Amino acid sequence: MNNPRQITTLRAAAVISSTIIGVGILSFPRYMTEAGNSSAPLVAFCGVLFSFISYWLLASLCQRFPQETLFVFSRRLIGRPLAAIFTVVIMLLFIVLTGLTVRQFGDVATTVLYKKTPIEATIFLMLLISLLSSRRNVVKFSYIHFFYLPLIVGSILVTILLSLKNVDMLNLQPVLMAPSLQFWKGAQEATYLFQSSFVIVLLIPFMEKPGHAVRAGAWAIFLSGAIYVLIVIASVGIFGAEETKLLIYPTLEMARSAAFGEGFLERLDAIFIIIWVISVYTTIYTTYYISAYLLHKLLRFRDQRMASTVLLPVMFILAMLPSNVFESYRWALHLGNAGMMLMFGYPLLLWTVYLLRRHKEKVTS
Amino acid sequence: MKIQLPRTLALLLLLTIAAPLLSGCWDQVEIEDRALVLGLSIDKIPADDTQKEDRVTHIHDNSLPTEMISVTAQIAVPGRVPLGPGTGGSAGEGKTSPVWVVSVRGISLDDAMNNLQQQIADPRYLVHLRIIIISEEIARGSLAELNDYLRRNPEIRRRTWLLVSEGRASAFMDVNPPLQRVPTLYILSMMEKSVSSGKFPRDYIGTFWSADSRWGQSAYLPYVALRNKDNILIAGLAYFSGGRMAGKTAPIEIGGFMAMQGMDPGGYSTLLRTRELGIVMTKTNERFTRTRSYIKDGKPYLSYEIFLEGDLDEHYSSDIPVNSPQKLHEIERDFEQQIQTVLTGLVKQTQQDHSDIFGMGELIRSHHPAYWRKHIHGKNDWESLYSSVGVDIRLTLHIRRVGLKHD
Repeated sequence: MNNPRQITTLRAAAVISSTIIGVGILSFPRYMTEAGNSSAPLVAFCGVLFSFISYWLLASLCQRFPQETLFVFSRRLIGRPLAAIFTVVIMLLFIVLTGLTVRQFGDVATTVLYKKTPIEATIFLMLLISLLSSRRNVVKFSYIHFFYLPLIVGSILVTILLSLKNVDMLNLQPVLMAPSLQFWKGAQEATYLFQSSFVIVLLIPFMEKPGHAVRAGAWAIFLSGAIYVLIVIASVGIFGAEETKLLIYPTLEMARSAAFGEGFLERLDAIFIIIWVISVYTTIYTTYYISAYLLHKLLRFRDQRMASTVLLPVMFILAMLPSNVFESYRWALHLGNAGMMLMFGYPLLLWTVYLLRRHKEKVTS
Repeated sequence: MKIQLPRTLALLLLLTIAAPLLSGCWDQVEIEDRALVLGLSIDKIPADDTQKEDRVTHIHDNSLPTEMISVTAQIAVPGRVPLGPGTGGSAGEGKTSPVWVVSVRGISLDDAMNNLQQQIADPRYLVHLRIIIISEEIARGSLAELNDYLRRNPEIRRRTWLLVSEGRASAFMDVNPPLQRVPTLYILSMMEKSVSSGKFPRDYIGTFWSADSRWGQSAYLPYVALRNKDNILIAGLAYFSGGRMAGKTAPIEIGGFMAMQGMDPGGYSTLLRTRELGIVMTKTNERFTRTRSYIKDGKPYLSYEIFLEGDLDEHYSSDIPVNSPQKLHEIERDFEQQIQTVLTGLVKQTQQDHSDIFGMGELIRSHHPAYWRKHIHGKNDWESLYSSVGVDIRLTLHIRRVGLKHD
């Protein structure tokens, strides 16, 4: 237990992918179809590529400082005050992200599962579980993700495979489309789901081989990316582009109409929803953990346990703020937009400073 | 100890908060307390019927549509729905019906469902709804309202069957078939079995919606009719144009439609008069279709190559024996000619009604995207263009077996 470097590359990859697969899985095909009609899978694929580029930018920088997290070495690169400001902004981003994610979870649960259960109860319980598990250290955090990932990936794949036999290939053609403004917007929206891959920043100091951070992320992003693309293929293939746009949760609708054998085993949506709740939990757990960790670093608490308790009411209030479904989706899109600029711009800034400084060092020596 | 105390207190407080949240089951409703709706039928109320509505969802109906619908629901009576095949003892107590048939009226389906709820004690649940039957009158009006409510309602599944009935739909809620004790379950198993025996395409409400949303395809639904009060006949396809029912086909044309789409297994037999061998019946077992689309002189053209495999089922006037490959080829040739005219007739009929149930537009959309983007800007565009599409059908039948009789 004395060795802090306990997270293997595989486990780091598991953390990232189970984080990425989350609440967005239900409505993702709709966003992609609005951008690309029958070319939706291509839009999603481009989104995955962009997410990887953005991740690479971040992780390859962090790899150069294997002993520290981003928040520590950024102080040396751009100075304490500026680094603190960026850290605060990132923390706020993840706090709001947690709030909105848990709200979207609550909306789905109330619409589909528990019509009479107050949304406050579902949201509060989800946050409470995340709070309790956020009190653990990073190694246990990675074990929890590693435990759940096979469950999430396995059952989603089974649902997709069962649905694939109803796919009409005509719905997926034409596969290519001319890259228009809409196309890029869709690809950009796809990257929002991958923003939580930022969690690698916390993992690197605890990884057995910090040099494998990019590799872990590559595995994770392409695994979860493949799942997202498959989901888009399945739901556009089954429903057709126009119908997918009409459905608020196309993936759920796909699970609802999936059947194993002819009426032998129907209503797989119950299992799907249970698994989906777990995947939402792993996502919220990560964003919660990042927020708590950042707060503890900022306020110099002994560990993040106190910080995670403080955050619970804040997140709960944030989750209750949107007044309806459309508003919470719009806010989530705006947040994704802001997040994208931050997640792309900040590493870029750090990279530039890092390269400039190294250049200067070389010149002086 | 002193540090421990507040921690223990905090933990206790947390547990007391968590206990009611975790144990509370807000949505628990015992199955006996649910009114499970198994089937629904929707009719239009005749204009001369001026009975007032119950005013459950509204007070003034001046600004609301004046046309009303009548909804008949089959509700499962708890404990009376048999779970397995009935034994000798339970057959005697057949007087107690396993379902309760309730009829209500309303301006929209949702309004009618609320009126229904006002009349029955238990909360209604649509989770087990498997069959919705609408009358032809409703189908010929706009289905937009029904589709909206059914799509929005999370209890409705896309594997529900939506049927269009000849005459009043509520008559189907009263049928009492001897094969199943629950009428809607009988209709359900009838539809499911007709799918597995190749009598009807797998056309759930979800399939109908997807086709309805697609720009390059028009939707269709099963058209059913009652015969002898208790028998249900699949009487054809009710095809739609612009969201309204535009016409219906003959039952044999379902087979023709499935042949055009290459849907397996084949399930229709054809009775035809051959030139030399008298009247014969052939049974189709397998269908395979190759489709090509091309643009010629700025107009879309489609060619269908249909390959059927079948058996000789009956030789009606057997003066001349069918005992050689040549004779079988003669039957095949005559079949091909005659069915080709049937298929061309079906295409002509749907073209006149602007209803592309074959999804030819989808072929054009996916294979000629440039043409599609230039000419089609909505579902209407395709449905009006569809009537001028050139369709070329070639049919090949292979008779493989003749049964147990040699000549």
